[in-house]
Amino acid sequence: MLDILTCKLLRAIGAKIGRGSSLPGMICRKIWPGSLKTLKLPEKVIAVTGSNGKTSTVAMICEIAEKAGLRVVCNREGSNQIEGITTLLLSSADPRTRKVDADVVILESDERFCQYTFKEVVPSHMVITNLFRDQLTRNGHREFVRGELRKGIPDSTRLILNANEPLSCAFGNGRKGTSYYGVSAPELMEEPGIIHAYDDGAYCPICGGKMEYSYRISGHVGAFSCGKCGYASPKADHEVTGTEDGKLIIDGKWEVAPQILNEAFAQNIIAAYTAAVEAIGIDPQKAAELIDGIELDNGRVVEFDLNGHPGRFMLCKHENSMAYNGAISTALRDPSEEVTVVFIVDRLSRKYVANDMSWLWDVDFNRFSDPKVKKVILSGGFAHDAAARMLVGGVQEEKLIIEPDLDRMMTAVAERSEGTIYVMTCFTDQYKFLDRLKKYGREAAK
Amino acid sequence: MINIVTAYPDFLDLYGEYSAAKLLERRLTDAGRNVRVTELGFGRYSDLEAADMVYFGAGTEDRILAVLSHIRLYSEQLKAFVERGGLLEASGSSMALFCRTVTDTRDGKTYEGLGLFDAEAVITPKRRYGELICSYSGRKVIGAVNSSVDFLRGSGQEALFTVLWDSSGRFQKGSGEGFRAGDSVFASEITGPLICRNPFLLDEIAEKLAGEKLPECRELWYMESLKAYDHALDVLLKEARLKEEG
Ligand SMILES: [Zn+2]
Repeated sequence: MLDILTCKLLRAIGAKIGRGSSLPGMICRKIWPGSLKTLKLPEKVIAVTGSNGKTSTVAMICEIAEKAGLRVVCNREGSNQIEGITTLLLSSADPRTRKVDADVVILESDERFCQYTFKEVVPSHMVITNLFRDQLTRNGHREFVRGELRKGIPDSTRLILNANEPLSCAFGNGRKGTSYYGVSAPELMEEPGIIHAYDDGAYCPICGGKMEYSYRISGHVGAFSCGKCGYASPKADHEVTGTEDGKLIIDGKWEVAPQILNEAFAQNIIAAYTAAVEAIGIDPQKAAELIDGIELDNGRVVEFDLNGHPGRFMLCKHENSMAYNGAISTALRDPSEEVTVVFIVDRLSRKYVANDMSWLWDVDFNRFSDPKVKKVILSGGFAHDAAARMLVGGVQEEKLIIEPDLDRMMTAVAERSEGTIYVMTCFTDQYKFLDRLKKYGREAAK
Repeated sequence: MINIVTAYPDFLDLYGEYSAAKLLERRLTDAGRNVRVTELGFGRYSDLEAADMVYFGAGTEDRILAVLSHIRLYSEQLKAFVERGGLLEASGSSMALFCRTVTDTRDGKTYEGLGLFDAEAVITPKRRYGELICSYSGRKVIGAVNSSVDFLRGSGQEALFTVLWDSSGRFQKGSGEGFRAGDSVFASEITGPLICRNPFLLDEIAEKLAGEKLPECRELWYMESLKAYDHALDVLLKEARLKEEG
């Protein structure tokens, strides 16, 4: 009882003074190490993990469940490691009965921390969105993350997997009760002829044989098959089968309006839909209605106007080539004929010593050689690394404006942009642009 | 014609190291040399007799073991290549291929390596990441070690770099990093890509391949690499100072 009361109190104090959500859990774990295990959880506990898309997927599942009238406990804004999850669950529990007051618990988890969290909280279902190259300074490489994640999947947990991502999809091999989701909409398939910096789908994750794709959605995400061992994309239980008038078609019958029409958002929507139907048990038609027009308030895309140029700020993640590749594809698909790209890379991490720039070589920056891209403005301390990478990748010298200084970058964006402006950077560097954009807007108004 | 062979470039493809051949090709063609880059790998044969350089990039531990088993097809050719003074470079975990043995502590198995270095490679389940400043020929080399492999250097094995600082504390100040055998076989755990982050190393290898000193490169990509090096070194020196001051 005392653990729950203490956690509630610490969380309330934390909320008042604006402190993070992990500290109460951390303190309670020190004093009462076994308390998380003894909580009474609802039958449905859905974990969501994977390199990309987990926050959006969690937000969508929560919204569907809440709109369906269910009481939801979710770490939507909190930490996705064990301390934050301890804070969330203890402070949501009744001190007398130890019951978590919810119909469904939805937990986003860091891939490498599942092995700790899910020893104490056993999810009924686990959505694994994908395993991409992400924060390799912390994560080493995808195979290492797969090994760490494997330790965190309890035997009794039913998996919900992305049928198009070979490495994470293999968790379902020989595992009963697994559900799969996928995207097969021809409109969302990758244009043929794109040469990526690397191909994580080149070799089979089971036997090392060469893999073939009948189509690709983005990078190594697609319909794969190994000629050597036969490992292939399983049949999806639910999929985005097409698009029509800017809407996604789910399972050939339900129309759903997405906030952004792209392959990443489509994968998140179908993951959330599958979790709603297969894990929570919501009727498919109802789930489609509830997900229709869903808007996430996560600041990932900010529209703006600068000196008559329409602009889109796209929040990416440094050290995550798939995130940048998605933004690059979106910029190149912009309906206008001319595009200016702004890329800011100043700081990778606020927590760790991380100045590695090798990930720049994994991003498809060579695609900026496309004639539609008129200017590429590079800024931040590592602008020169980005410039060297792009030039070796074939981006034309005359397109580049290299301004490590952030104020001078802003002037260049305002004065030298051509066409629609696409700004790409990470949350660690986002305000270096967004704050200057605001200031620029104020000064222009004077 | 300068012949560069990249070994398993779509398989040993971590940390951008696969791009090393591209950088060398660019540096040499900018200096007016003809360069041909070919690939050696699964199902891709490359004639090492015509090669001037063979390059191995970084890969996952399982992939290193897969390459170790496949590369035996080439072991005689590789030995002959090294004996005639061909340039062999390995970066990141691929350094393990050329040790005497490779032990995988995850299953306890030990494999015979290609034996160019008097050293043992030990694959561990632990992952480590550190950013390094090293010295080499009076210059500072920068980059990162992102690895699960420990290297036990035999008494007769010469190191490539001397460590000045390692953010992870794994390498002691003054200890050796990487291996070299004579003037043509080099390996380092440091990635970055190593020859991109350290343009003077790119120059050194390009000049070895060209067989003479090359004119200074004035191309924008190269000038930007120099500026990037200055900035990164500055950042790392600050990090090192902060750590030392506690
Ligand atoms: Zn296979």
